[in-house]
Amino acid sequence: MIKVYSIPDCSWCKKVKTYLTSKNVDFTDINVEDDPEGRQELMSLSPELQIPLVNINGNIVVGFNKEKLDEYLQL
Amino acid sequence: MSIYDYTAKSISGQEIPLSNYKGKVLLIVNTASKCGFTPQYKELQELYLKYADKGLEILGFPSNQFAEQEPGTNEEVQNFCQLNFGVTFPLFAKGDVRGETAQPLFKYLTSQVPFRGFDPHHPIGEKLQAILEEKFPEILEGDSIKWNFTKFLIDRSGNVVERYEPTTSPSAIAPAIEKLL
Repeated sequence: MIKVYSIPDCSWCKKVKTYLTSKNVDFTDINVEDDPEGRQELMSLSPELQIPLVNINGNIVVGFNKEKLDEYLQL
Repeated sequence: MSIYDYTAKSISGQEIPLSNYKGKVLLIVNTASKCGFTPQYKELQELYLKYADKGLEILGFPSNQFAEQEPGTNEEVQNFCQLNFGVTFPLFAKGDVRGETAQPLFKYLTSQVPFRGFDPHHPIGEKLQAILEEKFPEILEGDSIKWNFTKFLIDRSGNVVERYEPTTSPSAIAPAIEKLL
């Protein structure tokens, strides 16, 4: 299960989602601006509230970090 | 005119007179509402927690004037954004801070202390200078606000005593704040 925590007005979030889509990776996009529960989840994963945050089966990638994404997704 | 003659619009649309803050040491900052070049919220919040009970107030003014201008994707430039709902100091309504449409408060602040350049020793100092020269040379002209997280320090009598560019981290301002408190 892959979750992306993001907000609409954030270019790095868009880059992460575009990248995942280009690699045919299925993910659930959680808009933490509108989703208080999602925000709580994000806070527990990143107390500094940094986004985008990708949770790949428990492996956390903060920001648009291609190398880490590739590593955890075994791309 | 003094800073206490100005008002600022709260997020709920109310005009707040800055005279409400008479007697306090103020740090006025133009913040980026969502993600900016160097989000400094964390250190600002730390200053606030440390000095609020001694008389410091931090006033944040979100502006999107620079937010869309992302200076490249260099690896040294961070590749994430930071949400701003972790801070407890007052954030005012989103508005302009430079140019003709700038809020009067910011026109006043920039008229009080000139722009004296970025700190070239800061990790982003030279880069920010180069990007502005190349892409937005008009921003570098004059004393207007140059980028997100420009900070103005005001003493207890309302004098604008110092201006810190985005290349000064909030934690580096602590000694100057202590002196005024």
